[in-house]
Amino acid sequence: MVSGVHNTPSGGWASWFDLRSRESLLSAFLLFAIVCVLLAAAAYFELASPRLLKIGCVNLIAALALGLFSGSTGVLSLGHVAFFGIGAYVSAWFTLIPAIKGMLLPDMPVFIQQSQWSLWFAVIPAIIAGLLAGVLTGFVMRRLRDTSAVIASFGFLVIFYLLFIGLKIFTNGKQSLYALPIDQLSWPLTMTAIATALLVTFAIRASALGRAAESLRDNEAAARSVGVDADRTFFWVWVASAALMAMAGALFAHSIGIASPSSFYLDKTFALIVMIIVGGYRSLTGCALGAVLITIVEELLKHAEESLGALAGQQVLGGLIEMPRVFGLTALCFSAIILLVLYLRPEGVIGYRELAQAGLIRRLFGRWLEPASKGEEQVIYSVPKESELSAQSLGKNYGYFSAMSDVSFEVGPGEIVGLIGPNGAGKSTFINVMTGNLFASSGAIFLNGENATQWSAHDLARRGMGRTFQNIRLFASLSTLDNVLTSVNVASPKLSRVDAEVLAMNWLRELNLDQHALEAGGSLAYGDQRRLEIARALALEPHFLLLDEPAAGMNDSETHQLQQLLKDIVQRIGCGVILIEHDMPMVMALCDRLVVLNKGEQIASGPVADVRKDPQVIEAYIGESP
Amino acid sequence: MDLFLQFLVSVLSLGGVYALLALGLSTVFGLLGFLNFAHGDLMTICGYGLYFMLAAGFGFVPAATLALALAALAAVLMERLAFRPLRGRNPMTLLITSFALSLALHVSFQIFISPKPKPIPVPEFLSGYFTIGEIFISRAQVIAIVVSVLSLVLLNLFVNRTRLGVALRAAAADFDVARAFGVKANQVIAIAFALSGLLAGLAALVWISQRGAVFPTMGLTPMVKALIAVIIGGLSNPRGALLGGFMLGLLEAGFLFTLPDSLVLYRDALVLLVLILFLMFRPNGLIATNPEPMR
Repeated sequence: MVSGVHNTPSGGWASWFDLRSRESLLSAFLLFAIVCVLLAAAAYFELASPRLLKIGCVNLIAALALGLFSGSTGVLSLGHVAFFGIGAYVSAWFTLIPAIKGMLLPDMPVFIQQSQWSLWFAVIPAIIAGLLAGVLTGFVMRRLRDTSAVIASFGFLVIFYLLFIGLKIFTNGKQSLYALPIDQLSWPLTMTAIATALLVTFAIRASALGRAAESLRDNEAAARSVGVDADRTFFWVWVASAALMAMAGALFAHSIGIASPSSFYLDKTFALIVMIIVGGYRSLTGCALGAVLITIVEELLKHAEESLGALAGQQVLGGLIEMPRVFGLTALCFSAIILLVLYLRPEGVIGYRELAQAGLIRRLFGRWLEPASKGEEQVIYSVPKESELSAQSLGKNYGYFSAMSDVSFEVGPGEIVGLIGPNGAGKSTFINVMTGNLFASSGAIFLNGENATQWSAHDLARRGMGRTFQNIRLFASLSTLDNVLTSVNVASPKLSRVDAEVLAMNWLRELNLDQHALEAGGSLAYGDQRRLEIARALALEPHFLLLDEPAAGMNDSETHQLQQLLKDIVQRIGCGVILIEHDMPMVMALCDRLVVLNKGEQIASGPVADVRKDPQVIEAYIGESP
Repeated sequence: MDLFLQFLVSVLSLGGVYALLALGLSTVFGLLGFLNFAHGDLMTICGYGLYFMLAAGFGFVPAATLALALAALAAVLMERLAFRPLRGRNPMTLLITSFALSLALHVSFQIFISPKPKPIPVPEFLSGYFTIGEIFISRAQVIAIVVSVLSLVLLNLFVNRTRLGVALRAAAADFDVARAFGVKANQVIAIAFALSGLLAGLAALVWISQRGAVFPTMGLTPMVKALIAVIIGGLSNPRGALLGGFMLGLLEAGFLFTLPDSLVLYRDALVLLVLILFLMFRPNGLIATNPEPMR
């Protein structure tokens, strides 16, 4: 598809920093600064031991890694601690001093037996191992969503836990690896790791991949309809977060000096989940905040547990009960915290926003946090004259029941073809087959000369078919701008970020939505939401556009505006439109040709005037003529 | 032939337990749309109930009956206290809540009862072997099969022949419509949880009679497998749970009979791995509401 932005492309590094990138960079930078200040303060006032501070830093990295996946896909992974463990073990292979290694891991290859690396280098194989484990598990995870994905990730946690115990050659099993060199975890390394984690997670959030993942989280059907490859997006976010998690695990093992299977199982998983839930797992800022809060709470609880432990066995409350030995206070309090947060503030402390999106920061950085814009330019791409979409005797059966049979039609560029029919005529089946959501039982679909019968929804979207939905499907938590950018990223992947943003802003202006650019898609008024859906479909630069009852729920003046808009767009861009609509005056006014379905069959097709006179059509709509 | 018979008995006895667990999970899923992670802890609760009743001097059968009632009660309480305040939230929230609840229960068992396994004396009629010709078959396994099959038959009668059972099925098919026709939401949900607790309890009895001990995380491993089995069977349909449960039994018995002793440690890992790999090819399960794969 030829993109029609006629701006002079902005070059150099500046072209990388669209609004989302600037927000992410600023958030990452501010968070890093805050962490530095907190650490310095804690060290100066001796609020915590260096060891505890380092554990806190590791928690922060782990929470960011988990938040990267869980936040952007909406699936809370219970399996990430497995990667944490992998990172811990693999790094320990290289940092343990050979004498101890000979004792703990006598069956390791000589090369590893003799190595004694600095942790700076040992982190690298740990990350690679996490990456590989992420790839292997990712092949399964990419197919799963919602409940299934959560349960499968938990299954991986259990599998890896059993392997950590069982594969004694590599892990020394339950005897665990101990005497890891704690001094290897220096402050420069810790801070570098935090900076890396912040940069990587925020860079992914800012990238097309991150935006695509969030679009999937909000509405998978809609994301596929704008060409987002759901499985691939899921896969790469999973792999990236697995690799980061392994890095965190490597540091963790060296912060406590031990790697044992039980430290990479339920308790750690739970602690991490509590962190990201409390802070707000859909926001990386939230995950970071949660990590800090929960690290503090955990430490306080540990002290409480110890002082209560001193009382164990003594008679308390005047000898009424014997004080039990308390050792699960932390886990109990975590459960209570998570339940409270879920009852009272299910989106966590922070919710959806990142640090740079907070009101105060916005006021401080004012103009730097505005979307790019380049005046009143018109967005025009043009659809080649020879494009063509056709369906040839398309049919769909469910067993013996035929939902649709023998439907044929074609649309050329610049043409509006109406598809009408009473309820139950098979319109929905037709749409689902045409847009790649159902397989056809018979017949074929051709798009620009290629047989598209078997293409998936995102393939169809990528190769020139846009659509809207009968019941609006926006990416509700993404900004209006990001809604459109999701399509722009797919239509013109080579465009620089700033140019993509300019293009998206132009589309918003085209549909009169530019003043809402930074509002969440789901918070727009009904009519605006309908127009945003059209803007998003058009930003895909489709050759053909399938509009599923675009005027549903609109009043007369809105319908009229929409009618004008569609006419205008078709004239300027030359795309073909399939219009499914119940509003007959609109259909009659807009369409060049009509296809009429009834009871799953095509009963008429041709120019509007002819179809209107067709006795079969009249019968289908108003009953048998007397 | 002998081996085959023994294999069959293993498959059915293991599959029976998993099917009971899976059905309990899917009963709640059918109504509320989430898999209850604390389901395994209902097993544990039933186990401890049995332990304390036996310690209090009850006979095995009355103790088991009381333990079952306790599991059902615990399930209803769980819903009332933890899940009802969150009703209508998205399933991910409920799932995490149940995860938190499950860990809280583990810890509570550890603190208030004991981190160590508590032995449960298995009565005469459950231990020992039957002999059919030359073949030894453990009584516990046969009882497991009998109990599971009987429970499944009774459950089937309940949901098909009683008013409450039909209300339950109606609510599972479409909660809103069922409510519009006078089904009381709270009542139906309480019944679903009681039923799931009962099923977990039955599974626990069968499980314990073959192993003779109860410990804080007893329910975890069987539940993790049952969770995946439910998904493999298909979340939307109780028949899926049944199918998934018995498939899991087949798989586990298969590994039990074929794996050399040196690899026995990895059996659970392998079972889980095969289950998860299976999901890769049928992400929506065997019996799915939308049987067509996405294009």
